Amino acid sequence: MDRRSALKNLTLSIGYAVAAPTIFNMLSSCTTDVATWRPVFLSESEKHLVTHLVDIILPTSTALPGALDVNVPQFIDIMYKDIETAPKQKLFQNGATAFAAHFEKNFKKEALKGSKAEIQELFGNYFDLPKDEIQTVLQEQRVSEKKVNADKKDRYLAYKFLFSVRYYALYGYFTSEKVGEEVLAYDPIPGVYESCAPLEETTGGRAWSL
Amino acid sequence: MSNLNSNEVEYDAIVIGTGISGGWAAKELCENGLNTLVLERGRMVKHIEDYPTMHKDPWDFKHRGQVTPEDKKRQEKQARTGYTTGEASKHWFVDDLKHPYSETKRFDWIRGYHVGGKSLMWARMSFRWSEMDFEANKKDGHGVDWPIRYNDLKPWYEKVERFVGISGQEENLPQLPDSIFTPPVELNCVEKEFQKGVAENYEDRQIIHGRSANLTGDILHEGRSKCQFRNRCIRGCPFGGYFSSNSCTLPAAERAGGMTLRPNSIVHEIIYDDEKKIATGVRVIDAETNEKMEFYAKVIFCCAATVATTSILLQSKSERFPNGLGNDSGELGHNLMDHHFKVGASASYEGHEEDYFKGRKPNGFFVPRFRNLGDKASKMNYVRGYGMQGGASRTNWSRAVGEMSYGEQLKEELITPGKWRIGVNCFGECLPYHENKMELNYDKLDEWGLPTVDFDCEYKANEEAMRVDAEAEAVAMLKAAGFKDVRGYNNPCFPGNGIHEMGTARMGHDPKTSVVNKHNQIHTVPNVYVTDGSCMSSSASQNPSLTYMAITARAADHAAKELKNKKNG
Repeated sequence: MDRRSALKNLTLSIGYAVAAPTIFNMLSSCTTDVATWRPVFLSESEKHLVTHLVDIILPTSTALPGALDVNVPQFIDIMYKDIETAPKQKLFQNGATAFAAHFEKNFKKEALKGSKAEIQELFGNYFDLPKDEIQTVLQEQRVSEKKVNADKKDRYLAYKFLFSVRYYALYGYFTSEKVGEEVLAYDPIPGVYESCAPLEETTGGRAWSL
Repeated sequence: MSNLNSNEVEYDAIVIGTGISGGWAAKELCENGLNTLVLERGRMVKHIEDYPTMHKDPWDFKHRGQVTPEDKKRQEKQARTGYTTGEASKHWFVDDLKHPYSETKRFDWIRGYHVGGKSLMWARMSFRWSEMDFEANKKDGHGVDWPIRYNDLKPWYEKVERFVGISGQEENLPQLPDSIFTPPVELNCVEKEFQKGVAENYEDRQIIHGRSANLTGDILHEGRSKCQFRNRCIRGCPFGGYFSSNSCTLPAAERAGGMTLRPNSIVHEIIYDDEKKIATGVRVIDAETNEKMEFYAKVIFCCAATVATTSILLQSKSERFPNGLGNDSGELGHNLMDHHFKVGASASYEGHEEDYFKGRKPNGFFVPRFRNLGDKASKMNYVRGYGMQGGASRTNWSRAVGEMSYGEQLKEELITPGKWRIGVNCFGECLPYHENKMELNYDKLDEWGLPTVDFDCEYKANEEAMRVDAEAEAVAMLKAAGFKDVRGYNNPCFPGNGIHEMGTARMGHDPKTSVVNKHNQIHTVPNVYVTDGSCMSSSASQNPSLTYMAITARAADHAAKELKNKKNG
């Protein structure tokens, strides 16, 4: 049963709802895992890169799910199709092309055939930087595309792509049902407010998901 | 419902609008036994049944809260607040393409066209005004003198507060009278640090609990349960945890009997009878069928919200009133005010890392006005004052956006709460300037052939001077209280964005300089009452809804008594 509509029906049937944590325990959440999926925005090459990149940024571990466990690539695909504007879509595509070109130059093969290890090596080239260089990169990213020198354009675009993937990886991961309900501390109807509560006792050290 | 479209029935009263003011007018008139027609231009919204997003978690939204570029185009102006048009609440805000307006100067006109109006999405902050506020115009000469004083409203504040339920704590401050409170929502540990730090460093100001229309405590309120600390008020609350027309006043009117509620009814004109010298009814266009109709009543309550009420009055032209109903003074549409804000400071707190909270509270702390209180020490280079509203919380995963970290360690770090952050936002009084105005625009008609509205309104030197002081004080208070990384801000703020627009049919003693009298009756058309924000003679710095409620309840009582006197006389 769909948990949300079950809850809605319950609320309606009693006129106004009364907080009852048991209601939530009774209703199991329903997630569907899709093994294979066809993108609606991403090209095959972009899908391949995005899938490996989000796995590098938020990997799966024994303790915690990773980006691939909560369908982050699918999320990025939908957000780029439905939410991002045409100029941002173009920027993302150009960035992915620049990153793929860099990959091909380094590894002498198509990005689509790149292994996770190879993509991670190239990603490290962009993200494993000393502190002062990080600041330079972040500052450069605030400039609009038109003002970037031609010789720095490809690197600028590749960073735009990687930052967007990282942003959506975080966004998609932390607003996913699995992470929201099972990893973070989930309490949709707290019922009471405790203004100052010890972190460890209250949530086991975890952040609230809502 | 058979009499709905008939023009043979005469109601005792017509109420235009179902928001904060209209809901109160409906409740009070019905409870006084009046046969009342309540007209709402938007769609029906039934309590609980019609709150489509009330239980949704972030993952239940296809785009996790974001909207498409197509949606954005339809709500370009509504989106100016920055929080109104996400997937969770966009359905409560109008389509700007369907409901256009023009701006000689930028004005952010934020609206909800549906039963309940903005009472569904309001920020629920509820403060009484003080004697100081009602005396301000007379004392410093701006605007016209209020024809009422604090004591005129006090019993009505009490009446509405008992019904609404205002959480807060008594403080005995002359500039911010206490309400009848339900228990306050406690400050969290870092807000308490701020409270303590300010108490140790200042004698002229204090941090108090927010006062909000969220139900706490054990006093029964029919059909409602207590605030559940979900902080999803803007979506409509299935618990009736906060005050709205839909959960409170309209059900009360329904229980009293005698209410006919008609949604999709665009009132565009009040009918004036030149011989009887009173209003006899209203002209309506059905928003769905475009059918034109008239409804008649003995008294009419204008509660459509400031701009809409004023627009209706301006459209109500007759031989006697060529410039709009009751507009002998020429003040109708003028003296438009709002609260200016988006000025203050934010900071980090080092410490309390092992402390957290449970529940998402619907309000924060408040700093009552401490400038220009009548003594020498608080006198400034500007008049009137501001209050501060804010809250502290711990940052979430979004703190890592704009960084370059990645991998397992990043994930492990982000599942824990981040640093404590605090924000202080100042809300300041805006003076009533005659030249700040709204007018009808007959060059651009809406899809029903009705004139649209044009705004010509701006903040001026007094507001700017206040903002400079407000930012400096917010910064100084946070620094004095030991907060780190203190950053002041004074961001562009345009009238309307506070969604406290008011003043365009102001109260006054003199028909030559004001539109309505001390009972909210149009001076020259006493069976028309104006009780929403348009009747305000000054803006004070407090959130105004509680005052609209008290003013409306008081005016409804007056109208009911007048009708009874007529019957008996």
